[in-house]
Amino acid sequence: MNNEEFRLIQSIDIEQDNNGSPNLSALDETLRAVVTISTKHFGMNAAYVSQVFHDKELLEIVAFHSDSPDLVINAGTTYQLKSTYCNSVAEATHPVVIENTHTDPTFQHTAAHDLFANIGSYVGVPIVLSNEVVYGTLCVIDTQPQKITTNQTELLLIMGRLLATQIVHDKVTYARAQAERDLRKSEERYREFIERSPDMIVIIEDNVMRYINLAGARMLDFDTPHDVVGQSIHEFIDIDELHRVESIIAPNAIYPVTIHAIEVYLKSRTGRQLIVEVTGFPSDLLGANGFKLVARDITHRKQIETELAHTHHAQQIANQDLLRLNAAKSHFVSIVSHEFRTALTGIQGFSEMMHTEDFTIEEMRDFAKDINEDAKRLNRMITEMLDLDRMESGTMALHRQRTDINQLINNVVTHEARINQHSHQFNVQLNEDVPHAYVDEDKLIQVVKNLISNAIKYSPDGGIITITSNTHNGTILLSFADQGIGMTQDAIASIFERYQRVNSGATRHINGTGLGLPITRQIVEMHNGRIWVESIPEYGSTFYVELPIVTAEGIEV
Amino acid sequence: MTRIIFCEDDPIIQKLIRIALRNDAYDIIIAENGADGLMLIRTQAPLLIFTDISMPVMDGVQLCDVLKADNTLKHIPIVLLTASTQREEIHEALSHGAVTHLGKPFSPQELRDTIKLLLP
Repeated sequence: MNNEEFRLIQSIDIEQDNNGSPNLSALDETLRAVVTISTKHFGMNAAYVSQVFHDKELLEIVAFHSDSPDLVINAGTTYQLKSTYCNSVAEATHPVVIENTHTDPTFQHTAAHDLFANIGSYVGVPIVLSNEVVYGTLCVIDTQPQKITTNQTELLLIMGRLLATQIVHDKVTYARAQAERDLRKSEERYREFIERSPDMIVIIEDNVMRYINLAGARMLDFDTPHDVVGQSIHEFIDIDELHRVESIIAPNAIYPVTIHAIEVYLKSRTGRQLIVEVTGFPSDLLGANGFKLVARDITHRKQIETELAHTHHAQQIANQDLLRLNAAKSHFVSIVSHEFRTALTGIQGFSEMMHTEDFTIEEMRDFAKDINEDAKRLNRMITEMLDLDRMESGTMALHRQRTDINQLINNVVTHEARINQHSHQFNVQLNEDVPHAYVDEDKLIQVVKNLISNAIKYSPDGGIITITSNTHNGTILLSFADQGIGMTQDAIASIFERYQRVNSGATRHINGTGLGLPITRQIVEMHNGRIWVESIPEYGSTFYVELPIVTAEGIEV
Repeated sequence: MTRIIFCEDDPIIQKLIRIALRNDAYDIIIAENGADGLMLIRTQAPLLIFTDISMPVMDGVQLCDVLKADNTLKHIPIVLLTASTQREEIHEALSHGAVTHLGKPFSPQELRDTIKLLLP
């Protein structure tokens, strides 16, 4: 036992706190037994055990036995040490024997003599713990003066020593228990801190999980830490990823490094991938045997970061699309203004001359016809633009009626052939099996018309334009083939887009707003159909229109 | 007679040009595109050339390039018929050697004034 333990012992108040000290009541019994035996052995009235406090200023009776009603001191009573006979025992640390307090020259005039006036004789021995620390006293007293033998004194001394041993033992036991309790409390605080941490806290030794907290086990899709401890870390990290992480740590591993915020990919028991941010330090200087790590699950954060990146990317693409659309719009405006100004040149020029110059009535009529044609051209272009706008915004409705598709094609071809100023030949092959269908007749006429005039536009004079109708897999399939200039794959990709027209030197003379094909596509798609083109540059293009067969209004079969 | 060659593919504008200039002593030749126009310019030696910019086979700008590269033809003044109001586009087109431009829609009087200004 060292000084520190003694200080600990001295600081403990047995009476106030006997929790956690299993032998304390045993000490009480011992004390009681000792004072009882002492009383009987000495044949005196009473015996007590006292404890000194406060740097030997106070004395408290901790056990008391009396056979005489005249001599009663309650256990727990505290006196100024100096006012008791025990004072000299505690001071001198040797037995004090007073056979007659009234005649003893040393004690006759002491404060104790005044205070304990009814005590006639007194024998006290110190209870000296090891290291000279005085615990208190063991005393036997009587109301009358008594003769005390040396043997009796010796025996009391031995009993005092035995008590000392018992007290030391008990106090050490208690102190240990208390220290353990404190340690446990402290450990519990840390353990709670670790176990209830929302982050994974893990100790890894030789690539084996030696400790993991609950949050860590849960992160790895286990119910309890117990299920994880003892497993190899290879269960939770791919070998390549492990090598990557090691390569980050390794360059500093000869020093006691701290691992600061390394992102690591883990896999859980169920194969779920998670991303953790690991912070920690090696268990030893070399970092060879193990690590103590804190790992924060940042999977969700990374997901959000990724989503943000995707959103940002999508936004960039959308912005690029907008820029492209804007450029296409500018291009469209330029084409439209060219077409408008060309038509307006005729209208303005002829009307001005008719207004200011002299012409015959026949000439006037002729000019009026030209003006009228240009005006109609303007009107057609404006109508096309507005139609496409309405179709694209979904505000144009279909007026379906039962329509003979073959008849419709024949009518359009006949009309186009009549007004065609060039010498194209029409090869029309219509399959009689093509059923009547519920379509918007006016709009379908527009489709056929657009595709035929498109074929005429892009074909040389005398070229053959082949038009077919068929049923195919429950749909009506129309085709419009020309022997024109054809298109590259790049051109095909954009011809159905608004504002686009194949714009090479060879084709940009062709009049039109470039809205014919976008309008055609819109009409076909409003009918839940498809339009596409196959083309070989220099050999010609074939446009296909596929329409679902609608036999009763609104009902597809 | 003063010979002027027009390169213009729109039939109504072709007709407008002929009617507008019918009373002046000009020999008007009209080509459908730049390539036909170039052939006619080489053989007919016009004093003035009008050309549309947007034409098939050879457009107005390409025609300017060919004419200005030809020592026997580069002295003939060229007027561009433009349908654009974009300054940049017009300036770019003019940079190929045309002396000026006439914007569509143009009036018959503007056409006549332009010719008078450029011919002696």
